[in-house]
Amino acid sequence: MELLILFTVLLVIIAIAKILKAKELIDKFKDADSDPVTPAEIKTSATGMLIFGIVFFALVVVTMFSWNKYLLPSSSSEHGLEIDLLMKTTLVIILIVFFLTHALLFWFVFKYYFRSGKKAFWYPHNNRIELAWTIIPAFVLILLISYGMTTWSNIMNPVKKKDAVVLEFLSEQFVWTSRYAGKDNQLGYASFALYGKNKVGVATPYAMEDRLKETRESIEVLVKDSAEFEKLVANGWNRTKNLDDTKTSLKNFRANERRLNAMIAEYKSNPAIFKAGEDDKVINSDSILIPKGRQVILKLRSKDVIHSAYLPHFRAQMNTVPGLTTEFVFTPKYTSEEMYEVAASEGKKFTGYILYCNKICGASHYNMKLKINVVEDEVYKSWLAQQQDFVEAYK
Amino acid sequence: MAGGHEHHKHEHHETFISKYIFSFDHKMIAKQYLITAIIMAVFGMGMSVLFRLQLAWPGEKMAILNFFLGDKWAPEGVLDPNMYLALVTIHGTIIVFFVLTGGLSGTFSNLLIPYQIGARDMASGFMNMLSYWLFFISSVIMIYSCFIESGPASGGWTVYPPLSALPQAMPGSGLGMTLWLVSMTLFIASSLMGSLNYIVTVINLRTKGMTMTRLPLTIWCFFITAILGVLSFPVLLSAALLLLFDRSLGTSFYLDSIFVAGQPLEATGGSPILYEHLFWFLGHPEVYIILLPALGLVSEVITTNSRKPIFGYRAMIVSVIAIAFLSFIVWGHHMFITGMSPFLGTVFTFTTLLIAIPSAVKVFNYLATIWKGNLRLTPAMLFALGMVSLFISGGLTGIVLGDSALDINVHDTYFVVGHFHIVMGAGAIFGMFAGVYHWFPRMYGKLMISKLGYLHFWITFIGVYGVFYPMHFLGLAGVPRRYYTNMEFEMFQDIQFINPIITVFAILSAIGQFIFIFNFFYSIIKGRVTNNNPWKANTLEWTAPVERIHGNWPGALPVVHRWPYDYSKPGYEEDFVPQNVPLKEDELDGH
Repeated sequence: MELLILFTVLLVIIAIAKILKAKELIDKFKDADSDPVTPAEIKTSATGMLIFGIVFFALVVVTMFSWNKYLLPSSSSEHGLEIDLLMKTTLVIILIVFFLTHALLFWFVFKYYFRSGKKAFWYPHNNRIELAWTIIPAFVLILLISYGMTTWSNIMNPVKKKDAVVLEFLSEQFVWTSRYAGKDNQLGYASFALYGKNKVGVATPYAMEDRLKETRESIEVLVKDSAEFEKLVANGWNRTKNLDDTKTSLKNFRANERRLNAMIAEYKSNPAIFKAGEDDKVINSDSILIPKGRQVILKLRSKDVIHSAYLPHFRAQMNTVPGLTTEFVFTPKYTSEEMYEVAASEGKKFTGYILYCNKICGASHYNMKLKINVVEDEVYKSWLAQQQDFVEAYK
Repeated sequence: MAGGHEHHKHEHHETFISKYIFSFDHKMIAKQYLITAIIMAVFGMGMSVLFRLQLAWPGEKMAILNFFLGDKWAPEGVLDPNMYLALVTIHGTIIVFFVLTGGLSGTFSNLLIPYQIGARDMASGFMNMLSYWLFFISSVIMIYSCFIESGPASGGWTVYPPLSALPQAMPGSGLGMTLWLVSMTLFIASSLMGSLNYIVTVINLRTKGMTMTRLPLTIWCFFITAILGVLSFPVLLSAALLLLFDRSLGTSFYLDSIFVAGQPLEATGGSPILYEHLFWFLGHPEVYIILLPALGLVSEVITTNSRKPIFGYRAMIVSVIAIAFLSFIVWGHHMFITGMSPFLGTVFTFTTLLIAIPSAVKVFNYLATIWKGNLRLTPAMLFALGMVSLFISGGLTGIVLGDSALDINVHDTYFVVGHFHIVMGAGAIFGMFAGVYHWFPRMYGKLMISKLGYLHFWITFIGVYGVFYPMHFLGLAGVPRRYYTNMEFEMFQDIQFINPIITVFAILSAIGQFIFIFNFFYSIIKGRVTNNNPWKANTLEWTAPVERIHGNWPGALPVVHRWPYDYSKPGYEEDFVPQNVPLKEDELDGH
């Protein structure tokens, strides 16, 4: 590699030196009024453009066919098939315009390069032509826009089914945690006030009390620490940042204590909403199962910064935003095993469904993933039944 | 009218400082902007080569990385993931703001507005100087932020909070981020002063006969760009200030329900999406703040070197205005999958794809301009034609990304990286190169070496497509941008071979740029002296003497009698008729 770079640099330097020498020789014969470029240079450039055009077109065609096998296999979700079709339509239109306009560009450059004595064609405008090439693109685009908008609306406003799998992904630097709804098929209330030992912050009565206890312990420690640091600082300790950090932490935990107290008070007046979480199933694993053929309602939350849940095989993606629950609905079409065959039949390689982060989130952004296995419904059901309910797991 | 001004005689003394440093003269300020931008571009480009090395050969020990980044960020030549993100971030920031916004508008609006409208100088020379020096200070702060202990900002050039708001989330969100915000605040102030000056100058200082429909398209583009800047940059300023408050004063405009570093934060009630809206309300017009000046330069270079009037002058003006207007109502297409209401997605898809119509008109008009022309393929002309090619290629992939349904699966992948680098990165850089080669004689009274110009063009043109075309395939394979390495995924193993190809082209292009830099500085000193109109162009700057004198024209200002595109006009011997040549009897003004 270094050799290659060195070689290129050397070549460039030699080229510059040669050109400079030639230039100095030529400059002696030229005055201020002589032409800045020579006819030979213009002709070479015109030929160069044509050759570039031909090679460029050839490479585009070759790569489109030979690199196709590295692209994603066709969609493994119902709505994704619509996206694939829209993509194909759009790509065909784009490619036609690309080849047409570029063919004209390269050809005109080659055909009409400068010859002295010749005069260009005086043609400042033609309203009819201009109207035509405003209306035709407008017409094509309106069709494409309507097609795109319909597809988008269908995907984003799905009819939710009763037997849908309700699944939550909680993102944090740099892990995905999953939570399935229990028998009631709804996810229980969760809050960031409870994160800690409670990975996804499900708010059940016990979890709230436990977290309150934990928070108070933290406060006690912090109060002690800050008193000590204050004494040290008073005696000339120069690391005041430690004291500031402790004070900030103390503020954070005190706010959390107030928050938890308010939640517990609310529980006393309205216990029902804190019940739904008890049968939720939190999965602490880098691999989960979902059933084929059933609608999956993804609920997405984030603990710390913005992440993005990207499931390319299902043509699904949605950001996870702290303080907000976002949603994406899709229906898997093929089990993982079937997908190997589908991909193989297209000459492509499939290496398993995967969810990964697609919004810059910190140092290990490049390695924040979750394996997903799509299985038959029965397999999924028996697997889910083996997972512990939240109340059992969190004691 | 500027025509009423008396010409200043050369009596007042110019010291070195007033002539070269704190100059009020638009030509000198343009050169200051250009040279600052070239230096910033070397930084930005160098960073891209460093992270391209990592992407091509992830985790390998490379002495060059250790040489540039030291033992802290590249121990034994292996790049640190935090530094990778920092390089990506600062590369983006520098190229987008400092090179293609400050550098491009700063150089060419300053150089060409007074010259092409026939004015002695900008409306306010003092504000112009202030604008450059704020730009300079903000550049210095941005570069300085790369050398602090915790590293520069690393949250991507869009610096979305909470990542950028929480120093606990990554080292780059510490002091580096504060410096980024300070630098950007100064940059915005500079940009606003510049833009106000451009607008006022174009409106008030046009010479006699220079009506709005006789303005060269360059000036139209700079004028509209300045208006875009004045209307959108203040929004980024507010976004940056609120972020600064969140970071330093304990407010929570962008923060809600956050648990980081083992602590639930006190700050609640804000929304990170608010930042995204504010950012992209600038961010999308910003794309056109970058692109329109480039299109303006390209229009001028193409028509001059085609020896043929620009086709559809009025349609070009209307399409620039349409693009500018639409650019304000499309920002949401950067946010289709942020959790914004799906209905808004529909609206933004609609407005976004509408932009393709005026863009298509521009492309067809360029093609019609070169049709049956007499093309003088100077290096500037090649870069201009290259820009048209890039504008087509990158514009077309934009149709995929602007369509919300398709965006779901290519959002934030390499498809996006390929798209915007071609259309606004390389596209605008090509416009800038075309401008430098074309107006170098105007700036220095000398010619750049054409042979080196051709070499530079071919290396860059091949390099740009070699780098960014394959990225579309990575994107369609689902490879995300801003990944330190793709090797942690089995599904990306097979397509990894594309990354070394891209990197080799990137290194090649980077080396090619040094030819330009050499050519530029060498020609300032030893370039061939030329007359005042080497390209035989019509616009007013070429009627001024070769010497760049204070006030631009000795004696009275030129008077304009015709539009700027009388090339190869029937009835004239020469194939060009400058704007200050009176109309013959019975002759109609151009279009």
